[in-house]
Amino acid sequence: MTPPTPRGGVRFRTGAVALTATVTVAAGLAACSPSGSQNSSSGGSTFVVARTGDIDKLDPHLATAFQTQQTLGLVYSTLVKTSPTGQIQPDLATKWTTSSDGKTLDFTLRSGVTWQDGSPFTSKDVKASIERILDQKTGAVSRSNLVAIKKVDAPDDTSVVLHLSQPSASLLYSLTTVNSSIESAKDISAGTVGKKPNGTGAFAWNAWNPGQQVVLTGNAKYFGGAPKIKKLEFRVIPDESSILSGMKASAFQLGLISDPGVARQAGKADAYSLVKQPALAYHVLMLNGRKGPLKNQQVRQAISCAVDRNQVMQTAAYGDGTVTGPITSPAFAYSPTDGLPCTPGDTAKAKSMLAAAGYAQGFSLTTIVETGEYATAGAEAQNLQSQLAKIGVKLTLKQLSTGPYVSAWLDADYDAAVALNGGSYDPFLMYGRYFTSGGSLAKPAGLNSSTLADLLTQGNATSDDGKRQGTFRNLQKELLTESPWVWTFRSDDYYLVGSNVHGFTPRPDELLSSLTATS
Amino acid sequence: MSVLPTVAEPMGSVPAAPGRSSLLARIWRDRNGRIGLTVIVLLAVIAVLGALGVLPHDPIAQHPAARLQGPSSRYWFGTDQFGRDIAARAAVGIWTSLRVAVVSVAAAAVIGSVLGISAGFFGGWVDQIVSRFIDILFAFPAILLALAVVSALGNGWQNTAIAIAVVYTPIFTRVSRGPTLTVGGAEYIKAQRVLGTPLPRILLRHVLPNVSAPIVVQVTLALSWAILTESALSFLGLGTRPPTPSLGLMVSDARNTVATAWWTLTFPALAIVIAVITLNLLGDGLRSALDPRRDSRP
Repeated sequence: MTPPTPRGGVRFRTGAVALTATVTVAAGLAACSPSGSQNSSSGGSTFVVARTGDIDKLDPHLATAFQTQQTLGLVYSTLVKTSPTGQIQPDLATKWTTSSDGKTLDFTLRSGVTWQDGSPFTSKDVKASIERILDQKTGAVSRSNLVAIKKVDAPDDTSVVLHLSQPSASLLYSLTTVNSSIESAKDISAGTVGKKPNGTGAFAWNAWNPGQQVVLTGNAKYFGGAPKIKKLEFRVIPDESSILSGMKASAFQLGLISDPGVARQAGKADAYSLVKQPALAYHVLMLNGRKGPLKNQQVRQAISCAVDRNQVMQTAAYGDGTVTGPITSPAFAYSPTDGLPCTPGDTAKAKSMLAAAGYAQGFSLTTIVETGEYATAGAEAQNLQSQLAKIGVKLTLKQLSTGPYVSAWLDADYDAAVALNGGSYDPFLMYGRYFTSGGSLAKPAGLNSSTLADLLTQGNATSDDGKRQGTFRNLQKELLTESPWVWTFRSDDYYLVGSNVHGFTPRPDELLSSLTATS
Repeated sequence: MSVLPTVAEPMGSVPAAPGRSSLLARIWRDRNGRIGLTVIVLLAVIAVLGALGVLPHDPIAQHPAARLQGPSSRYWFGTDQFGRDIAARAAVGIWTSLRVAVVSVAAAAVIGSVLGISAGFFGGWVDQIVSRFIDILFAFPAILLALAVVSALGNGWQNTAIAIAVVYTPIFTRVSRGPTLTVGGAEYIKAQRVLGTPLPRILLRHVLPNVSAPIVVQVTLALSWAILTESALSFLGLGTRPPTPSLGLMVSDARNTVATAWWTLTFPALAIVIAVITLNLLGDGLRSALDPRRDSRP
């Protein structure tokens, strides 16, 4: 099962639901008051991270909300993890080998690791965790990514062997996600998973006051070394402007914001510095290639050609971001336009393509636009509407709050959808769920293409980096040629880092693992 | 229970509305009314020009190369984040606000007055039902009630107008009910009933004209509140749909740009302030114009 949302994870933010915003501004201001600001980053006292949403679950295997993944990612460990640039690195496994046929992965586990409840970590925990993910009854988010595993062996306490039904190069990347966290076999058998998190990560669970804050404590026995932060608090401040106010008042050590408008207001201050980090997530106009004129590839290409990506980014995100093609992983950086039969923004060419497709007079489309989930959706939609009007495509905006939007999106009940989709370091994990047969999000993808499915399968079947690069380069080109969607830009995430905070490094996947080394 | 008019004791005199022909002249004689009338006519002209699309720039057209430009001879009020002309958008925004305000207040005035006059004239269970219903509506804060209605109906100017009408109907009911209680017990009404004048004629020819003065004044005040409410709903993303210009929507969009482009917030906000103050001044003038004791004042 995959997350029932357009993104890999879901942000819970306010913004459009304004009554909530009105109320929460007051709440936020209260939370920013001096009474809540007796913290400092160093000296072992509380390190406060302000963000707009709260966690919603305590089970990492079921976590879809982004805040939940950020939090539980600090409590639990995984077999392997990714570096900020997407390289696979050891975590609970110190080394691993892949058999020559690619169907067996042999992991050597770290010894001397203990769970936060004091019991020792062994290979039985890994076996129990993976089997729990693969059990359909669990409803684990990463099940579809690990489905190639047909058997897990634990020959001794520090060895785990994964037997695969077919080679899967993306499997290691799948094992790095929070949704593939290793849980305690004891907790799994006792059915206590999701009640009180018990991990092997850098921080131990302390308390959760729903809607207000989550408190973690530094795990002195963490195998990577005890974190310098002794007490870590995630505080929910539903309005990003209030987070900014709190940072100006030094009420928080770290503020997480995503609205480029708020980032513009942040400017320079003595109390904090603004750090921008390009995210793996991408902004896109999804086209439903199973409806009306959009069934025609040339029409989709015309729409893609009509859109000047840079203009969308400039107007919606004040120029913060990077124009992108389909694949956003830094390890697979290709031309964002190779495959398109035009230069994006070439209105004349786009009009001639529409005319050749039999739509010289244009046509009308309705696009769903989410309000409240992320700040730039409305502005993106307005700019796309303006750009497409130039080729005679009348784009009507249908604004929906998160629930109805996700529902319409999952049912593919749209002509077009302005979306912010989650990215991944691995291209197969990004698009396998959309464009392979049986992919969990094949319906909202809006297009069936055997060429795309074959390329994705080929890319996932080999671990040879050269072959993967070639295959995924062709995948990107084919995606742009088919133009099922119009990829526009990768936005920046913004981090307001307190002036007395040291060692914090943001990541493209928006996880906060560098808090382990932050003081 | 009887549905016949109840005979109530007179509760005091209700001034009759002065003759229609003299109303504009009477407003003009009042300083506030003069200012209000002048500016509201000016705003109406600007709004109509905007709605007819005869201004130099298209309020919807985006010119990304001219993003966030300050006021100039080309763009009088500057441009927004899409390079759209703020002057043209403000003009259409005034049209949007006035349209919603006029439609919603007209609906509220008609429905509220009918309910209020019915309650005051018939009394008894009609009065009880109407009054309790109005009490319930009054129990909700106005903006909360408007938010609830527009959330249920969806956004768009028609639904915004309905939401505002629902909010202001109870006010008109209250305003019309009180004077009707007085008028309903007056000798000339009793005389009409004794003479066998049909009930609709009594209500339309004898009751309504004599309770209209406070309703008319209330209309001008409600118009200014309606403009504020429409702006608030649009600001919150529940009113006018983008890219249609709305003053509240423009203020909302300007929150992120005001620090570096003051004009994006200043002009739409100023338009709201001017419209609201103007309608209040006009309301003052109208109140004076309809005050029968005005001419006898020193």
